[in-house]
Amino acid sequence: MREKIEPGLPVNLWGMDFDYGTVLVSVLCALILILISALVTRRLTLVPGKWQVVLEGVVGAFDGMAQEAFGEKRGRKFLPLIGTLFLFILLANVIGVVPVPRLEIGGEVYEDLNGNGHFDGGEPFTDAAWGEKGRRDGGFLLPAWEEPTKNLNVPVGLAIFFLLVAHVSAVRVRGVWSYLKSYGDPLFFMAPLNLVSKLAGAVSVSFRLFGNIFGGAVIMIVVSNLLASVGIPVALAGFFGLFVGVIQAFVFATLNMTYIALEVPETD
Amino acid sequence: MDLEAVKFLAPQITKAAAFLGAGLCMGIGAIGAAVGEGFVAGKACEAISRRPDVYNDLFRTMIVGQAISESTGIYSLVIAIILIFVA
Amino acid sequence: MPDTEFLVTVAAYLGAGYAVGMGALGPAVGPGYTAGLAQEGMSRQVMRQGAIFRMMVLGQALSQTAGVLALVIGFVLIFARGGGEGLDKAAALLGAGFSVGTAAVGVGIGNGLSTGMACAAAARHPKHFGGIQQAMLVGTAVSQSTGIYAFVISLLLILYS
Repeated sequence: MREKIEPGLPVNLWGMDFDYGTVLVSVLCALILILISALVTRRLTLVPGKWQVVLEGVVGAFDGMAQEAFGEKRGRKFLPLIGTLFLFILLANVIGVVPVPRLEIGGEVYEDLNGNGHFDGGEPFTDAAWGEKGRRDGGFLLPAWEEPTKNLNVPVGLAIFFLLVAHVSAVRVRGVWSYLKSYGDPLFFMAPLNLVSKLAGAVSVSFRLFGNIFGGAVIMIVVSNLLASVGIPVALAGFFGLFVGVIQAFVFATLNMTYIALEVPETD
Repeated sequence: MDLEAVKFLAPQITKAAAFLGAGLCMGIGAIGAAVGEGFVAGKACEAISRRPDVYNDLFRTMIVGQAISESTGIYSLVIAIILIFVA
Repeated sequence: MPDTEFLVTVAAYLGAGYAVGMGALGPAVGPGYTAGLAQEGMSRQVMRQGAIFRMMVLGQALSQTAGVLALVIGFVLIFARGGGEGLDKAAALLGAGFSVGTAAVGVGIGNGLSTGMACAAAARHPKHFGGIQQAMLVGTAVSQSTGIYAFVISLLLILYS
């Protein structure tokens, strides 16, 4: 009896396992952002249309914050990075709210002809839809439509990237010696504490995002299994996906910007 | 302690500990979220009474502030659910 | 000697429960205090609402760092505590939970107090916004240090017992 449904291979490239569902949805988010930006900025008008207002609002808000944090000149240089981070995480958090069924393509369907509850050898197959007549076997299960930030690797990877941005920028702006000396203030023996504090900052910012989004997903699954109702899970999905997603995206982007600004001094 | 009794009770004690842990977790975690959000709501009322014309902004701030305070309560809920169902 | 491996699991679950429970207490009261004072400040200084709001969100997120670290220890205790048996390992896992959980209470409330007063101060003296924000960031970083010590000790207890 062959009932196994292959859950879709995690792709193994260069010795590392990639969850290709996460990768696909992340790339999709990026493509959506590029598409929206290209379409909206193609015809910029002085009196803005609807989408332009929204994007201008986001850019303006982050421009103000970046200039407060970095000073005028450098604020503009870091603005694209922080703004893009915010928009990407926002889209990644919110995209899980869209209900997409999990599809399976290909494979063969076996039909239980003599009605004895399982498939004997030699029974023909049909192309009945999955679940109707028999079992589908050997097909390819498309990845589930989930927020990419639900996978721990995404927030941690982004946090590591921004940690590197912060410290490499600090070295480039201040020079190596001044950067190393900064670990020693206010008191010299606080150096290991400063190092741990920066690492803990990166850890906490990534786990905050992961905890909120993954927790939301877990709660959704549990509530959907426990309650035989449609309205309550939808309301919960709205709260967790949209509201919490927006706030956590904002917090993630702002905190990373603050951590970068803490390393790079304002006076230049 | 009798070896057989221990071997028999071990999975039950583990499950019991998971439930105790879940209860501790959500119980204590709920205190903080409640106190914090209550303080926010109270101060929001004060602020709105002082400037009723900015009601919308103050209300929105209250909701956002309470939602961020709620985050750690959600962490407690997640760990409690994991302890009950998964562990 | 009876098989004591289940004691390790028991201790891990109790530790995780305590860690995330206590770790949610402080980091929720603190941000609540922050939001409250920020609202009061916003009602006094309506012109600078946006800036005070952003300072509030930032301060709240910083105050919750200890809670997030407790969540990390909770996950590690439940899912990734590694093998090992014996009463000493069980006690170490319990200790790890106690450490990060109880530390988060003080860190959360303390940071909440400071960021709340920073928001109130920013409302009262909006010209010094940059300086106040700088002081708030440095102050929270320093007062979080005990929380980070507790997190490091928890990790050491889990990994090296």
